[in-house]
Amino acid sequence: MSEIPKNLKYSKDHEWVEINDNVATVGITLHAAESLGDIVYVDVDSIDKNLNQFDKFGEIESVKAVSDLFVPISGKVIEINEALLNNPEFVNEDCYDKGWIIKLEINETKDLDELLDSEEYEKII
Amino acid sequence: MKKTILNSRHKNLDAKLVDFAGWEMPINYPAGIIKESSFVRESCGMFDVSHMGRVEISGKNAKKFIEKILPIDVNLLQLSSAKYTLLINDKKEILDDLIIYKISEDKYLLVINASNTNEDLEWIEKVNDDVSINNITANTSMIAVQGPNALDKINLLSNNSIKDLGRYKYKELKLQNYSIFAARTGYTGEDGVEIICENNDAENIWDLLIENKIEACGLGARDLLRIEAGLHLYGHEINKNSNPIDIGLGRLLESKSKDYINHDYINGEDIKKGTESLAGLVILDRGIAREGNEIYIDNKIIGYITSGTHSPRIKSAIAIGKIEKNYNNIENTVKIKVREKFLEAKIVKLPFYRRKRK
Repeated sequence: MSEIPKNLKYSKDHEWVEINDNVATVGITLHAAESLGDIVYVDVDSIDKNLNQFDKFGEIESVKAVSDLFVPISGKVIEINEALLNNPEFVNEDCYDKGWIIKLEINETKDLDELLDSEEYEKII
Repeated sequence: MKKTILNSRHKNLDAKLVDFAGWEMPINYPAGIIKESSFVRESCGMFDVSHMGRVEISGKNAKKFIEKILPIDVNLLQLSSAKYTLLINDKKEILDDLIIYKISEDKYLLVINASNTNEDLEWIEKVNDDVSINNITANTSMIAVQGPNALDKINLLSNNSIKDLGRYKYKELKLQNYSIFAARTGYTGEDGVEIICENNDAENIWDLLIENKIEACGLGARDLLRIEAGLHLYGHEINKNSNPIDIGLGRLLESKSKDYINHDYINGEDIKKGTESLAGLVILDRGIAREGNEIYIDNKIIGYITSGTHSPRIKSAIAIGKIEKNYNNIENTVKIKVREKFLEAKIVKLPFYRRKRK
């Protein structure tokens, strides 16, 4: 079964978030990547856009299905993984590292209370 | 859910299993749809297609019966040959597309879609006079071996038994010790062999093919491959009310026999008056057009998508659409409504992919 990194927080929509100071890196979980299958397109919102927790920030599309992406934490989009847009298969190959999708600048971390830790996430998949 | 004999093999290979027409079937294995499709395009892959219906029609009047129910010219169908055709009922409804194999003068095999098997059988039984109709789906298994290396691989395992087997021909032969029916047919746009065998041998044959580096491929790859090859899928490009000429299958209506149930329909004038046609579409924007999406020219709906996917060969999204004939011009650009967005697409000639002949 999918390995679930312990240092990340998870949304019920299968996004993960990693916090480093005031920067949140966001991607989708291995469970989500495996459910979608081969990813062929990732489309995300533009830089500088302000998003509230659980707002839609893009779409991810596989050969078989399309799924909306939601930010697990409020913040401003400061970076998009440009390499991923051209190589969407990164999500299948390594969703927790080179398959990251966007980085957000965050002001506070109280949104994290709404998220799941790795053990809680494992229970819902 | 019904399971094929090979179900445990799929589970052992960690396949993702889905409900397909009431059968638990592999949509893909861990390699994924794109890699599996490339196995078939570049070397050799195989599909469990045991869920497809297999029906034998036999008896001294079998030939007459085939002439009555199918639009083929039954006199052109030679022994040990196969033909792609349509099953159309007396209401001009297409019940299925299928492959018919001529086993002997008084015996034929029909391979039909899993999703249509019951309805096909109901209709065939209804118009039966005195032939024997034998549904052998549950007693047999079927594996499609496809790809540029498929014939070599099967030759290697069968003492060169299919060396001289022509396209759309079949042969009964020994694959190592196993008796099989091997037909040079398929549904991927590649060359290959479709094997029908006894259930008792199915797992051993599957294992033998795996040992010989033939990669297991799921129905997801099969769908992608058939879209690239511009092949119709019932329920998508072909529906009950489709006009065979509109969907590019007019060439299948070859019967001139007065005994064919639809003689008047297929030889009449009305069938030529259809207004629709199938178009190949290459999507120029990012995103996949999928079944049901509307197709527009100048803000007017001219049709809808019947199948769509992403093609690793074309390196973009591709789709087949049913559109009004007078707009179906190569190089015309159209807009496809995908959720809230409009994707630009270009009309191209089908198929998207054609294999290189040896």
